[in-house]
Amino acid sequence: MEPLHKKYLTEQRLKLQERQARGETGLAVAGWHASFIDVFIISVFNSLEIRGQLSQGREETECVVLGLGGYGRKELSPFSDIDLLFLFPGPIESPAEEIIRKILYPFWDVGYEVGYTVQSLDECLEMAGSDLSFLTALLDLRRITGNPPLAQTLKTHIKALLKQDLGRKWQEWVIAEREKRHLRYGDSAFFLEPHLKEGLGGLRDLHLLLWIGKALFDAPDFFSLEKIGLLTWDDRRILAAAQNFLLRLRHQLHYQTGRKNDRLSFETQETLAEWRGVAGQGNTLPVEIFMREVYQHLQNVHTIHQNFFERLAELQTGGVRPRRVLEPGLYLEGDRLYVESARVLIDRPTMLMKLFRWAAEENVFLSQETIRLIKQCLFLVDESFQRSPEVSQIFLDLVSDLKTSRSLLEVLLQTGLLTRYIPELESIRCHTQFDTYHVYTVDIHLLLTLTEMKKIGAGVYLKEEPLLYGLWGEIPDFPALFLAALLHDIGKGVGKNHARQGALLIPQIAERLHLSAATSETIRFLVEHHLLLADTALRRDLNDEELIIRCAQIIQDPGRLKMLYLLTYADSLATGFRAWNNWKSMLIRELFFKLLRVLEQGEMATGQARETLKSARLEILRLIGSEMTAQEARALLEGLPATYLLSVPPEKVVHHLKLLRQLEGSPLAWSVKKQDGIVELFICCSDRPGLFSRLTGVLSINNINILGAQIFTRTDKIALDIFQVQPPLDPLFEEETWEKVHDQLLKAVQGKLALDYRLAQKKPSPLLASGPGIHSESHVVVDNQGSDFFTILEIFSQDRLGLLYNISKALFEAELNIHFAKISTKVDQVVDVFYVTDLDGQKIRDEEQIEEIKKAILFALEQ
Amino acid sequence: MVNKIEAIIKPFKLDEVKDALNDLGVKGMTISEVKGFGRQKGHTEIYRGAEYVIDFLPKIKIEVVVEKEMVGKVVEVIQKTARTGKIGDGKIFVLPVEEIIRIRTGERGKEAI
Repeated sequence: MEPLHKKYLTEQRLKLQERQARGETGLAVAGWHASFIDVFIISVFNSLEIRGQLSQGREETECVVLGLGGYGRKELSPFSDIDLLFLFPGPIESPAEEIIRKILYPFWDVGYEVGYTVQSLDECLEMAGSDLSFLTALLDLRRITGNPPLAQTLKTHIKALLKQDLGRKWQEWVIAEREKRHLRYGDSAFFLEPHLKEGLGGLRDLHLLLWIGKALFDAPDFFSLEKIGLLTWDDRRILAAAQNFLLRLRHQLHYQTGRKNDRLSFETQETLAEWRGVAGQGNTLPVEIFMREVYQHLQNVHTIHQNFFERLAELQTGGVRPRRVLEPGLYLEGDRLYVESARVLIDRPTMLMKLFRWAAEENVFLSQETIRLIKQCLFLVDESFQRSPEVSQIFLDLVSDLKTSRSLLEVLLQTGLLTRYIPELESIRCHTQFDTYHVYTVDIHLLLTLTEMKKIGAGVYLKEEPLLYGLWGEIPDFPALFLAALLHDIGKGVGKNHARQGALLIPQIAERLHLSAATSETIRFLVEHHLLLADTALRRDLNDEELIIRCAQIIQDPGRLKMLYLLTYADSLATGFRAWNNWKSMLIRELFFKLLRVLEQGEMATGQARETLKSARLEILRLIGSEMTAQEARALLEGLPATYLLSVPPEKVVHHLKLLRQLEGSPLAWSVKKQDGIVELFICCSDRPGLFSRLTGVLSINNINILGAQIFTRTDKIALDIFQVQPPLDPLFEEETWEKVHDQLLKAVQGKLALDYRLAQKKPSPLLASGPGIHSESHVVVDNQGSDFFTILEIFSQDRLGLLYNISKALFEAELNIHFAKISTKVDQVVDVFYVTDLDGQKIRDEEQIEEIKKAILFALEQ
Repeated sequence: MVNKIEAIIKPFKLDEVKDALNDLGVKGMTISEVKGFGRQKGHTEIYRGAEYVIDFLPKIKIEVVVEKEMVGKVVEVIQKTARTGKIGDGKIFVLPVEEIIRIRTGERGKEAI
């Protein structure tokens, strides 16, 4: 007996797979599956042996075999579970369970998951009254075989139960469960890896309608639901098509993965697209076209599902609901907004946009009727509508109002009004982005970004990111911020580099919307650079000052930086949790603070600075002319720090660059230029700790008084120093002096000069002794706030020979590296500014160490 | 004999290191976003009264498994590519591996790399 039955199941399963392969509809295959399971159960159950054992010959005590759930609905996918209820009229005799288990062995052998309950009628009804999910399962019950009157009795009792209070309780519960499910499986119908059963617009949403029909209206299928007006004729056709499509897809998914699996993962999406034989179209991949079809069905079910519940509410509250007129032609009933007639819209097209603003302000939904009307009246959106200042103002209100909910925005999108009003959005409608980074399709993503931005403004993320909320109060242009959120990916349908493409579309949109030039430019900037912060923070060295400066120069303005930061955050939140996490937010925050400081200090990143740099570079290239190839010139320009280019005039830069060329192979290159009684020394050499002290040491030995100095370090670690000095004491032998200095410099930078010894040997020249002027006190100021990359030391002291050497030596001994310095003398007062780091390249943060450095410098000043 | 190499590097160096390892012929690797500190110190940002203590710094951890013969080259490549010369460049650890199994096929040892 048994092997035969197992063989039957196995054979039938093979035939089932053939049916699927032949292209039979989803419902047909599912129903056929249930049918052969029926046949099996009936034949086993009705074998004389089993019947005898179970009922012990008495018909009244005979049980009925009921199918529940998907099996009951005759909707069985290849690897679905089978749910059975063995119902007895009275208390159950003990061997019954064992016998039943024996009947079911073949199922388990073949690999089915069978869930079964053995109950008496009383037990069953009791459970139905207390366990609402069990009650729901019972709604789908179908008698397979056995005691027909018993099955009928159960049905009658359940109906009776539902007519009472339990019906209302059940409805509330089932709707609450739906909310939970929708929340869990994606708060948008466009989850990139949809769950065909539990997701929005999935099979469960379909079942729910049937359950409501069965439980409350005695309407067990879509036809009867249409009859009682909960579905329209259109709805029913669309639902049937969706059900067939989704079921067939689900069957194939089961076969492909070899198990019960309802999630369309990326992998399965590709293979299923192939199975369906979908061809690509231009730049669009087959899988993207396939998924568009899937989304269409899911969206349809979702919309009809919403309509259904609206009608249900109307049906159940029956009677007249209080009506509230908002303005002539628009009224509210309950939480739904209605338009009196199409006439209202045709006479005043502005109403199309206005009713959305009303809905936002009153926090209500648009009725399905209104939605239909809008779709029918889209022809009213002509050029004058698109350019109307009144409509624009209403639209801006809508976009900026924190109360505008995401679902309202989705309706704005789905009615088609948004894309009619801003046609540039057309090319991204429903464009799936096929990568694991983006969970939502582009048009929904834009709405979500806007929604997230509003959430930020409403303080939703106050706990996780207080900085966001803090910045909110400092935003200079809110319409720009919200519109940028809504439009930032508008360039996605156009081609490569969507940020730039999108930015190109902004001016024309801004013009139609009558935005100010400033707002238009801000939106354009935000769209063009909406990826800047994330790209920089995650892919670049944030410890590189030049990088930060260049980034700040693009942004130019603290207000824009703050908006960019909020946009980056909102964009990432809306992209799906996978794009955002605390780790990334740390890096972006670090970048934000560094940029903010550069922008607030105002020197490096202003538009003026940018212009100066640009013109300086051009001028330098011009002055170099044909002396170097353009390539070589540019390469040399590359490594020059911004501070250098902003402080040193182009002619001097050119001079320095020519020296730089000569540096190949030589440890030091320099030149001496005399002008107006002052000598300028240009020095190029490899940077090393202590370099500055060696240079100043040599100058000291030769009694050369340093009036000023500007020290810079290139990115390739070449030092570019300019000294302004007084001419040597002995004007007669100036040439020789400079030769000697050059010679000693060369030795010093190679460590071949005993500077300390030499200096100690030297007696100061009486010609240089400082006069009996006012002996002012020296002091040292440490500024650790002015730069993110360096500790800034400001040293005020009385000038004297060798001072600079003493200071720089003290810095060297404190294990500090000088990156940039500015020395200047006024009369006999010296102000030296040094930008330093420790030998690891970091700012000095240790308070004690800073104190020690101060002491060391002050000591050196006393010498 | 097989070794596992774990490297903690600065986040922006990831692409470079990954490409360099690919060029070497290292096929698979695991990446994690981690936080840590060594001698590189964090600090506190204060903005409009809100404090942001940055004590753990974002880093990337790369894990690769290679045969013993490759270890020297891999370590060299990672060190050269990930280095900036400034503090916080990270560290490389070389660990012994007792056994490797490929989940899908059950292969062990060298074939499972």
